[in-house]
Amino acid sequence: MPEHTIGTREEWQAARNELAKLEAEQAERGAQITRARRDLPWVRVEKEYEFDTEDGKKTLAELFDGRSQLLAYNIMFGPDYTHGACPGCTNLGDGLDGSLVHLNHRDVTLICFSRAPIERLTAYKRRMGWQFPYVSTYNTDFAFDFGLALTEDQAQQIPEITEVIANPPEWVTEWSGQVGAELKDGLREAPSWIAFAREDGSVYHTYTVIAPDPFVAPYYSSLLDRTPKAQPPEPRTWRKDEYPD
Amino acid sequence: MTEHAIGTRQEWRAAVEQDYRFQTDDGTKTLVELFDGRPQLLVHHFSRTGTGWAGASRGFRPRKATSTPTSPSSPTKAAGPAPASASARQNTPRRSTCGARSSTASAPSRSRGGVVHHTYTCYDRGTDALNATWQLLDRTPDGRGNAPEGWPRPHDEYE
Repeated sequence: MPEHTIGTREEWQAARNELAKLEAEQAERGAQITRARRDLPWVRVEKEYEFDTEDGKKTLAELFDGRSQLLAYNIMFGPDYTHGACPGCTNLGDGLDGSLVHLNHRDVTLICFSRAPIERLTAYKRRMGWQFPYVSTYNTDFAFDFGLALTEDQAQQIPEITEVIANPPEWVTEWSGQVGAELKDGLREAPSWIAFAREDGSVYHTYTVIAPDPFVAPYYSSLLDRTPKAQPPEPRTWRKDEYPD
Repeated sequence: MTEHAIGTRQEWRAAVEQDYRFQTDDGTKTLVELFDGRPQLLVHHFSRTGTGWAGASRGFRPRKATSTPTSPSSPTKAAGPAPASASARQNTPRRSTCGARSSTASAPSRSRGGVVHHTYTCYDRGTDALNATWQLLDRTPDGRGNAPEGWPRPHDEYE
């Protein structure tokens, strides 16, 4: 338990009012950033991609499912992962279905991508009980073109990655075991959100954000930020059917 | 977790003195029983009117209306009609599902007689960051402003 103060209701209220000023500043800054995010230029997607989905082959435009916006989370589940997707990404996926219907009614199609073959994604989706569409980028350049995955050569040129592979912290080694892939392969997938717009028959890339941005985290982590006790510093996660306790 | 996250927890905690009883799915429970054996309790308070909700929130209600944090100006249509407490008093229609509250409490030590401390409450726009749908919409090209009819509905009430 971190150090904390016990106070009266009045003392709590005074401290809370001070904190409220910081939270209001943060909210205002967040609103400014959201406006700036929306002011990013749209970049037309010129290349033709064909994805494996649960309903057969689809183009990027077809993934919009008739809507004008596509928001996708890229789950770390590479072709080399023999046990399944990254547990942290899986935790994030667990939180998406509650928002699915609300986004769909706001002209947004919400999906997830991974680079493993579609059969493995479909089996994993069934195991996790997910509802959102899960699309494979296997055998396409899509993930590499949009920075959702690194080639082996690219990975070897990033000092942060080669350092972790050479001297992995204990939790990273555990993670490697959880996904069933060597780190040199496992760390090539980029946990990230990506957004596209469809207008007048063209598809535009509008936004990407990649970990360690705090938005690339399970929804429950924003809830845990409001609880009394801080979480452990190392981000260990478990799939919901594999908790040790 | 970062130093910053630990830093935000240097807040005053206030012991909850009153003995509340709540109606739950499993009968009447005290506040400490709502912890269900864990040392932390996080509560989302629904603003929609319905049976039994008002009493269930009383332990965390601020004493003064002025304690509600200032809402920042809204970039879109996100500003809600009324805070939760006002909605309840006026018995507004069920569709007014705008405001929200989240509270946390902790029982730091069961050996000290199971004392419950109130640690944190946020209200209204302060709960914005805790609405996953808003956070996802903020990353889309059109954002929150493209809603056909204003606020989201309960998931089973879409046409």
